[in-house]
Amino acid sequence: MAASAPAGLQAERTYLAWSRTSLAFAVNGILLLLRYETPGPGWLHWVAAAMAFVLLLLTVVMAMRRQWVLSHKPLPEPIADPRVLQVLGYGTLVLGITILILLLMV
Amino acid sequence: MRRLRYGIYFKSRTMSRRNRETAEEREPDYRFTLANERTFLSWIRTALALLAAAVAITQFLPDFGTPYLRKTVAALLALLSIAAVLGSALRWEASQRAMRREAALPRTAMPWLLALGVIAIGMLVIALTLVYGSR
Repeated sequence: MAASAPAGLQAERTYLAWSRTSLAFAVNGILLLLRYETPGPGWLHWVAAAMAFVLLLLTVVMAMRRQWVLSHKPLPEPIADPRVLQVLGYGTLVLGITILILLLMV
Repeated sequence: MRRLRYGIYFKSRTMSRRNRETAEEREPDYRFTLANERTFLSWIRTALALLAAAVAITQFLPDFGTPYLRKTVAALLALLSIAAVLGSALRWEASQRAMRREAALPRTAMPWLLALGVIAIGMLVIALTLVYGSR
């Protein structure tokens, strides 16, 4: 049975993958607020950046929660948690659409 | 005998109907589930990298090409990013379902789409640089 195998390294790798994903949100948030030209970021830039930072925090929280669940026995069954992936997927989708609109408006 | 729960989440009526018809589904080795999750996360990061490139082009390259062409390149990157997010969710669900049925993993055109998209955008950027030069 799967649950009897040591879960440590697998859980750790998954946690690191979540952490890297949260950093990718940070990069997007920071890029949105930096500007080459003199007028500062527009309101939609602030909205998109805020969204990126909220997603960053959510990702960190979900990563920690997931790490905790995966490193404690018994492992949940099914072990997959579609809700956290759903939050991440829809969140990134909304961020992408917002940035697309922003790019076309600028 | 347990019914699959994933179909409900990334909504698709055909998928959940198919799930109801399935008799045999078992929880796969947890390592496979976690690997699938990491693959999903990798695709999300790829999408975010494309998005960051789109933002960077509009914010940091005010002299690149013309405003209209610059916007086109950025929009193409953002669209590719959105496609990657959608694909990653569908891919995660399809893989998870296949693993629960001990079936072969479904084929996917996603790596090809990504590669062709990045190549096309790269060639567009090269063409713009050659035509307009770097000022």
